[in-house]
Amino acid sequence: MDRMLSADEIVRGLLAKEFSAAEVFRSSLERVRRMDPALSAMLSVTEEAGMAAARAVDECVARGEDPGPLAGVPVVLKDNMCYRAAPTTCGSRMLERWTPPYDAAVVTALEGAGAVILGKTNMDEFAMGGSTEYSAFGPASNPWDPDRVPGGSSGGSAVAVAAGYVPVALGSDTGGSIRQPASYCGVYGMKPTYGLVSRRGLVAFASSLDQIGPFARTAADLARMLSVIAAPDPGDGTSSRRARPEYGAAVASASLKGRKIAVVRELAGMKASLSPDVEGTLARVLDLCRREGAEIVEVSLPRSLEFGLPCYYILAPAEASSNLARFDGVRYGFSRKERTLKALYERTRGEGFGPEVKRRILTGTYVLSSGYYDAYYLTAQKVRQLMKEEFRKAFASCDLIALPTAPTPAFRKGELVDDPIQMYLADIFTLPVNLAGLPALSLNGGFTADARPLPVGVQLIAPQWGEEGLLSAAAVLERHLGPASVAPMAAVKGGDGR
Amino acid sequence: MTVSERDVRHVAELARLHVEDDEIVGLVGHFTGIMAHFNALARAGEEGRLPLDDLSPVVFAHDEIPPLRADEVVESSVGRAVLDAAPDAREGFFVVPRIMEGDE
Repeated sequence: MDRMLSADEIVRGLLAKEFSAAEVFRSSLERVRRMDPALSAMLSVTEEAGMAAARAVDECVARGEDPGPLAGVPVVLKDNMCYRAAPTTCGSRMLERWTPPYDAAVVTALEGAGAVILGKTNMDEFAMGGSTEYSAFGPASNPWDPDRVPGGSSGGSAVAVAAGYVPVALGSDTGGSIRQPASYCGVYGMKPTYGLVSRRGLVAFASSLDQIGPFARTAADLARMLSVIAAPDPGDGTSSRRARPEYGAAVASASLKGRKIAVVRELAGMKASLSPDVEGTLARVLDLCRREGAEIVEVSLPRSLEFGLPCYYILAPAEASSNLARFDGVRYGFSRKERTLKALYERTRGEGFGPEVKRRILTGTYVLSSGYYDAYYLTAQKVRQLMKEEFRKAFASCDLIALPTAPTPAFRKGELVDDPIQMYLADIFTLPVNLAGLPALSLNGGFTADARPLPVGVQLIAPQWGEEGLLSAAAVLERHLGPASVAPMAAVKGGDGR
Repeated sequence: MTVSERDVRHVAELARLHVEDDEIVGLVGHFTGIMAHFNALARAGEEGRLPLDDLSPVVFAHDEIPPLRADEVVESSVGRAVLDAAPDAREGFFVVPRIMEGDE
């Protein structure tokens, strides 16, 4: 099984008895063993549980029963989703040895669909960061150029799909943490509408923004994953009760004829911070849309682009400072033995959290503190309302909005790690989507002309609950651009096949 | 508005987060940098460049108001396992240092 199969192909091959789920799983494991020492995408590999799940699928197929829409498909989970078979570290010393006593809703959904969980992936600590360099267990590497970051915070999941360990993966996206690594690694990544996918069992970062979503190499696989995980859940108070479609239909009947795709007027004034590769790739993708019968229109999002960044970096840390208060050395994971309760809290948190998590907790505590709450937190919540309204108006005149996913292709390791505010600027095009609760996806629009070509993503944004429109557009573009490529092993090994 | 070392230490105290002396300078620099962005937003509000007066803050990111769950008792099956995973537990409780006496 040398060719990297899609989830679709695995399910079909399994039902046709061309191979077994156990064989697929072993092939995935083998790839992880060969490549992950160079890429560090995995924080744990659940070989035993995975093999048992694969055998169960094979038995199901042998009995002639329906093994489910993800039968035998190996999947990896970002390490902030609870899974009883492995620790859930969140990339933090704080939870290094903590194994959850229950499964996340998405894990139960994946297992019910016949998926085989291969392990947990590397991430920025508590999902705070855009490079995986803030992982307490060391950074992951970009499979297209291991000197560069894979993006983050769901970097490990993007790498696992781009390097061909697995056809699909799950990540979480609070300000771009699925779409930006998808862009840097050249795969699809979707952040669904807030409330579409249950977060029960997802370790909370900023609860009004967090959303789980899939990575894949084809639009069809993205739809297949979404159909499995997008279910109402009374266990998540923000889970929408609305009925979900079967998303595969949007891919099967994909068309852009008569669709209005909007470019954003303000982008013209941001050229200084935009790499020419990113600009060129967006133009190329828009041209393909036009050739497929879409009408290109223009919308204006001035407030979202000017104020999205401060708005997000007030609200997300504010929520994080509250959510992360639970890591106190009493109930979970790391704990310092101290004589007083206050010292126990302070020393546990001081040692258990890394630098970026500390910065965010302190920022969040500051903007919520007496005297600053109105000026910062309350203002940001109101501006967030303006941004929601701005998007609502924009979607009155278009079906989808196209923006870059990130201002540049993947940056070099170490380049921004000590300059967090510069790293935040990489989120400028993804944050407004979370603030407005909208769905968006990143697809690979092409590569840079470098000696080591780097993928360049394009972001499509839809109105609330507009996932089908995104998947349909992605499927049409895939006819021209092809499915996402698996990074060649030679690139991983440093170009000479070592 | 500038952020001082005292501000950072005060916030760290509020957050129950021990910060080493050698972390302080970096944190003051970071705060100063990020506050410039925050103040641009606050100023735009104060100067009336943004119509915020009659606006209510966002409560839910989507427009559905989440329904209440049925008022039924649900037995949790993980209580024991949660305590087992705690740093220190005894007789069905989390163990913490004494707070009624000592030198706090």
